[in-house]
Amino acid sequence: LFRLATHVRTLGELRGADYSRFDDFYLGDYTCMGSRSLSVDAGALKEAVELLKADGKRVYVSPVAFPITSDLPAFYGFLAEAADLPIDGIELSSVGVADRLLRDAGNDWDVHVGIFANVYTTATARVLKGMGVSRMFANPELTLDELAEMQDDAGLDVIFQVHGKLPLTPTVPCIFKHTQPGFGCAQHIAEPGKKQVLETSRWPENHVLLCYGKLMASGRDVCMIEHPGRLKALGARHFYINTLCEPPECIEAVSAVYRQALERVSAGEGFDVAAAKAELHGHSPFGFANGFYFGGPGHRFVSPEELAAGAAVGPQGGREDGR
Amino acid sequence: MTQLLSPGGTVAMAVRALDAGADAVYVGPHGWSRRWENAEIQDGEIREVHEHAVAQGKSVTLCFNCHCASREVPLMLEKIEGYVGWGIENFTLLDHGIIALVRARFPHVKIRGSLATTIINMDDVAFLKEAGVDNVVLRPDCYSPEEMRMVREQYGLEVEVITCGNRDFAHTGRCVMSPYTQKGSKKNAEGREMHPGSPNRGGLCHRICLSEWHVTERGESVFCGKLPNLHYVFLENIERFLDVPVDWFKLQGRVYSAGHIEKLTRFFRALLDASESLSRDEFTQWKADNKPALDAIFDERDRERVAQTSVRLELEAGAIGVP
Repeated sequence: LFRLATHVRTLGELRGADYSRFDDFYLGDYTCMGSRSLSVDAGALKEAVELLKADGKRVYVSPVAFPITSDLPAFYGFLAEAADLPIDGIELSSVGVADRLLRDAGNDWDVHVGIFANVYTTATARVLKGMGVSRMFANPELTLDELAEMQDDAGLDVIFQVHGKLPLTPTVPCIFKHTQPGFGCAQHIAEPGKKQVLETSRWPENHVLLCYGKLMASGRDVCMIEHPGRLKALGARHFYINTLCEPPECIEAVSAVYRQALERVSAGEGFDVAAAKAELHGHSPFGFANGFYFGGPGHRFVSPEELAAGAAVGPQGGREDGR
Repeated sequence: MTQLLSPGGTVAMAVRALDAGADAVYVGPHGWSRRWENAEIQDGEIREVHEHAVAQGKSVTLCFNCHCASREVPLMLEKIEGYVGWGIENFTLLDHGIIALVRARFPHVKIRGSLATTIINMDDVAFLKEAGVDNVVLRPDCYSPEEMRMVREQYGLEVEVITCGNRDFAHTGRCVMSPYTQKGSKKNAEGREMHPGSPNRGGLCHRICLSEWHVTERGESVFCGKLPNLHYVFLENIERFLDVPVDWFKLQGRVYSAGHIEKLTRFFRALLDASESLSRDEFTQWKADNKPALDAIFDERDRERVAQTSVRLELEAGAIGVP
């Protein structure tokens, strides 16, 4: 009835947490080719695929989102190495690379389009569908209604992020190198879980961002635990939890909460929303956000009650949920 | 020979740029381009600029380079049809689906792929060519001069390079940090939904990257300051683009003053003329002699940038009720 997906960057991350509640795995680091991730290290990818396939999971390789021309030989070389593995597909944000793969007669991988492919309209979703893309992340600032319309009109499965940090910006330079002069890729490889917290007093509201090197993300966690019924009504079937650099206990608890909630709602049953939300809050030090889904700023948080009252949409819709 | 494309944020700016030697100007139809509304112009003004350009044997490019909602695509096509009826034949587009629709409906128009399509490799170029663009903006950090030459010769596309502008720390068009923090919604006179705070959807970028950030890692302070976002100008090694030859040098700056854009246009007109008429050694000397003049223009640009950002933020903050 539904599938729950996440990204896993390294074999160490995969072995270090219980990912059993997930169905679909995007393996690799789409932010950087410099890291020794599962989308760079073919040996590690082989081990990860074997582990996940033994558990009946679907696996998709997730290579760097922005390979420049000089990266392409290594990029395609890695894909050639991975071609013999029992991989189900690939996630790509370069539409040109996606198009090339889909035109390749030898390719039997599903192609999913990544969040940084920047899909905003049904017109583009139709182009992707015509190319042969089977699933996609749309741009994160689209509303739930826009995503549902895109899925219905283009006939292309859309992935709905239900929890976790929201990817906001892929950066050109590594921000670690900007904030810590002298920092190098070797240090990042040695410390793959490295993340920095950015805070500003520019607004009275508490704005915290997280930096993962070449990716800026929200400090707050997208949280849709109060809205599974709405997601179901919109026809959402593919859900995503961002677990990037989260501790194992967070990954296990959050995925368990959503697995149970989605299963119950899919079966037409209810669940203890307050308990689920309280459990999730314990793993979200900067609070919740879901404003983009309801037409407002991404950092705002909208509850079903606010939605029903018609106060959710717009810049002041929802409320602050920072801690 | 390389041609010069200057900004036309206002009628006065467009006219002064054309008179100062621009071969073409780009303007944003109100509500449809990737700039705030005071740097866009109304339909009657577009016609005025078009007629001024045509009288000089030059052209106007209309920028539809922000994302609209799917339901607004028919309105966009209707507007383009009206402009085509006036004899305007150059359009800068962003969305892959809309590029395909415009190409199918208006086979004779020239389509420029916006910088915010963020093409970064040869596969992306091939895809855009297939989609129907005639011109691509290539970032020198993604494409070498040899690759630019290949784009012209192998794909038959015009190559455009932004000769002076801002070097965003993010991949252009992929950043949603601004709407994450501030995003509003309002409709303009023709029913187009505007999203203040979301540059990808036509609103003002709140330059989140230029906030003063306090960066910590595991509770330890590691950095205080702004994220990288610098303006740049190609002068020292500009021969590498002239030798390709790239088809267009684009100057960014619709939000600056008409006087500043006139000076900048006049400088690059003189540079292009000098590159044609002088020997390579003489041209090198010309650049050295004129570098102080360019530095002075850029000092002025920096001052305007700071002032403009401050004013724009205040204006838009008022528009959406941000404290």
